[in-house]
Order: sequence, then structure tokens, then C-alpha cells
Amino acid sequence: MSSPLLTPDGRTASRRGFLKRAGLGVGVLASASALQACDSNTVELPGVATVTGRVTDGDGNGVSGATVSLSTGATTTTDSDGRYTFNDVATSDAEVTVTVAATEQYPEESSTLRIVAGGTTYFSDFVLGTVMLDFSNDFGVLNYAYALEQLEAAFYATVVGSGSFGSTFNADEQAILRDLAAHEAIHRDFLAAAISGAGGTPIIGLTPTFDAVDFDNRSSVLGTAQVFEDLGVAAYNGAGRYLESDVYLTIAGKIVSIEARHASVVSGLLSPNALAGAGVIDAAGLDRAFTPDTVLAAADPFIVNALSAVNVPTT
Amino acid sequence: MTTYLHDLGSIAELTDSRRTALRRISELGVGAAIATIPFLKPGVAKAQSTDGDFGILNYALTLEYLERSFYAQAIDSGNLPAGAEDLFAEIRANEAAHVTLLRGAIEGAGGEPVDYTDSDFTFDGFLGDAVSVATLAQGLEDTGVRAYKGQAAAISDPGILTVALQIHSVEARHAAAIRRLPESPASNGWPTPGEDRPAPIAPVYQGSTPESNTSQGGVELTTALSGYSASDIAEAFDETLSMDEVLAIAGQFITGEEGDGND
Repeated sequence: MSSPLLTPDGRTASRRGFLKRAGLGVGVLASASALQACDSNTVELPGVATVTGRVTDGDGNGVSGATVSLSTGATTTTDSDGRYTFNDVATSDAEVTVTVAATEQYPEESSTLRIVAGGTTYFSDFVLGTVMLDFSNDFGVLNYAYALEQLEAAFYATVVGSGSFGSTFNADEQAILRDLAAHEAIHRDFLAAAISGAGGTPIIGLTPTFDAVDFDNRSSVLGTAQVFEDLGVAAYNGAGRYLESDVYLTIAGKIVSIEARHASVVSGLLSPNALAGAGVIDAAGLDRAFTPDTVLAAADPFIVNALSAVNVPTT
Repeated sequence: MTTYLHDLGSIAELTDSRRTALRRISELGVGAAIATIPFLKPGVAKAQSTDGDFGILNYALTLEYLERSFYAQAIDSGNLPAGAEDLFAEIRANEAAHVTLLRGAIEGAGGEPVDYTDSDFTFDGFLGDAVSVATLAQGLEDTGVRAYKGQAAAISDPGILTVALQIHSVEARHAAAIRRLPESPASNGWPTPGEDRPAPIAPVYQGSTPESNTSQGGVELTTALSGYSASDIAEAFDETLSMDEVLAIAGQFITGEEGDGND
């Protein structure tokens, strides 16, 4: 996706909030006859322009129900395909800012248009953004953990909420999976509270996608759980060195050993007395320690949002 | 939800960074602690005098010798939990690998590793039946998890910290697998309030921050977070043991002399 980052007069669109992975598309259709034919108000009132566009996620899917507002005060909501339209933007307003309000999943985005010609349709598309994990301080590390705990908590909530939960798993497994769901949700909520309580900003609530998981299938669910738990352990093990605060490092240690216990128990359900997924523990008796890039690449198929780790220390 | 958590802000300000902590430790921390440990012989004192991390590494190494010896003696006893032969062999191999790794790390950095053999440890009363074996295995593994966790913030070198964390999570995997054995007194893979903790291993779950703790970072989570039971909150976090607390547990089993070369 390589949409031009230009407003009608050629200036670069201003942006607030987080950077976008795919770029912000803003353009003008000089001769918008097709749209004008559908909208007599726009065509017949000189000095009035149309501002329209589409709000999509990083995968190109329309984001419905997003609140879009103009600096003139007008407000609307995106339709099921992520589209919005303002029909009566006066050219006398000259410059209007289009803002897509923050949702649970995405931070606020905005761009500025110059409205220079009546009877013209101006386009302002939004690709809702990449979630940045800034490792230049401990909040970034904690948000990284928060992102992974969100993923795990969402996964187990789906597992235990599935209509087939009771028939797919025996009583022992159900008790374990309910415990895991509770532990991960506690980790998630604790991290969000810890970040904001210390003056940081938690990342948005991420949108998970578990299309690849068959929640009616024991092996699919437990295999995915093993992947997530082993990955979580490797993520915490790799990130501990980035934490400057002794308190946070110790708390991360308190969480990671629970993740490791989860990983071991789930592995044992898949194969009696197994400690981990194949090859996870090496010949030196060590668990894995992954960089944020490795972890985020592994988690990417399960998260709709794009996540990016920046300013990761090199030592 | 966040209303109760403002205290964490001041905590972040009050705590040292790892780099600062290192200076603090080298001035007054680990050296003094090590000097008071009766069973850690001159090897430790010599090593840690050049770097606080050496003291922690030798502390970890001592625990790995202890675990390795336990699994060797448990396997030799023939009283393993049913069907757990492969598990015990795998854990023994992991602990032996940890011994090798830690010795290499200490020597590679110019330190002097402590020397223990499997026969320097005695587990009388714990090897006569599968329940006793599983019980002590659980206690030693949970001790190891809490011990590494308790030292993580005191390690100054990022590479050593990462390796310590990589060992720490393997110990947690061991602990969970042992706890799931029917012969183990535990029913869950993680410490759970109200679970059976027989006298010989009860101290493992106590300490200045017992496993029943529900406060993290100075914030009581049973009130700060909503929708969770105190039991689930306690389970969701493993806790630390101090070096002194761990050595009081481990010291019961150390009967030989460090560094005497006797096997």
C-alpha cells in the first residue's frame, strides 16, 4: 500500500498519534462526477465540498463504527465497510482536520485537508496504526509484556467460553484451562494498571484473531496453548535485561515462572511428563530467550494489529 | 481499576536500576551475605570478592549441585513415582547441564566455582518411597524457582541475567511437572493457597514473602483488580526467597565439604 501522503495543495498531511505501518492515504479526485451524480446537494450548491474516505485496519479490512469528526464540528460514524462521508463542507472553512477517534483497538488518527473548490470530493483514507512498543524505557518493556498477556488472556477466554469446552476437555483439563484463563487475565490487568499507575500509557486493547485454531479440537487448542506459553517464556526471558527497575524485573520474574509452569503443564497434557515443546530446552538445559522482533513475528498471525518494537537496546 | 495503583509511580522512582544496584551490592550487599553462610566455603568468598555476580553464580551453582545429587540418588533408590523414569532422567540431565554451564560461566569470567560432588548431599528419609521422592523433588524445584527469582535484580551483567532467567524458567517447568505427578502432595502445577504442604517442605512456601501473597509492587491486587479471587491472584505470581531463606532450606541436605574432592 503506497498511498500518497499529500493533501490537495501538495502539503504533507499532518498526523497525530501513532505512526502507521501502511501509510496514510489522502488525495483529491479532481473530477468526482460519479460521486456527484449520487449526491445532488454537493453538485448543486457552489462553495460546498464533500469529504469522504475509508477507515481500514492494517490488513485492509474496513473498520466499522469508528467516530469521525471534522474540525468544523460535524461528526459521523463509519459504515460496515469503514466508509464515512461529510456532504456539506464549506469551502470557506478552507482547512479542515479529519479525526478518527481512538477506539479500543486503535489510537486516534487525524489528517488535515485544504478545501479549495466547491463541488469537489476530497478523500481522506485512514489506515489505523501500528502499535509502537518503545523500549527506550521500562514502560515499553511492560507494554510488550502487556501485549502478550492480552493475547494469551484472549485465547484462554475463547477456549473456556467455547460451547464445546465441556465436551472437548476432561475435568482435569477444564480446571487447568480455567486457571490459565484467570492467571493470564490477572497478568494483563495487572500490567495495564501498573503502567498507568506509574504514569505511563498502556497500549490499546489489541484485536486477536484465532482463525487458525479449532476450538472444538483438543490438540489444536492445547498445541496453540503450548506455542503461546513457550513463546511467552522466551519473551520474558529475553526482555528481562531491558528492565532498569529492580521492582519490575522481579515482578517479571514472578510472572515468567508462572508462564513456564503453564507451558510445562500444557506440554504434559499433550505428552505425558513433557516439559516443553520439542527443542525448546537446549542441550545446556536452557529455556529460550527471544528478541522482541522474533516474538512479535511469531505472534503476528494471531494479532490483527501491527506491532513494532523500537529503540530496543543492543546490549 | 487504576485508581489504587498510583503507588507504583513512587516505587519506580525509589528503586535502583540494575546498574545502580550493582554498585550497591558490591559495596555492602552480597559479599556480607555470603560471608555468613557456613556451608559455602572459601571458593565462594574468593570468587565473589571480585564481582557480586560471582557470588550469585556460586549460590546458583550450589543449588544445581544439590538438585543434581538429589535426582541421581532418587534414581538410584529405585523408588521413583510411577512412570516418571524418563522425567527424572531428563531433569537430572538438565541439572547436570546447569552445573556445567555455571562452572563454565564462572571460570570463563575469571572466577572460581565451588566444588561439590553428588555424595556431598544426603537425603535421608526422602528416598524410601515414591511419595517422599516426589515431595522432596517438588520442594527442591520450587525452592530453585524462588531462589533464582530472588537474585535476578541483583545480577548486574545482562548476559548473566539472561542465562539465569533461562535456567529459572526451566526450574519452573521442572517444578510444574513434578507437582503434577500423582505422588506429589500438590494438585496444581503452581503453588496454590490451601494446598497440602507437608512439614519437610513447608518452609519452601513461606519466607518473608509467602506464596499466598496477593500484593505486587506495593499494591494489594485483591482490591486494585476486580473480578478475580484472592486465590487466583496469589497463583498468578510466583514469589521470591532471599538467599538466607534458601540456604536454610538447602543447608539441611549438605553434609560434605566443599572443595575437598571426595566423591
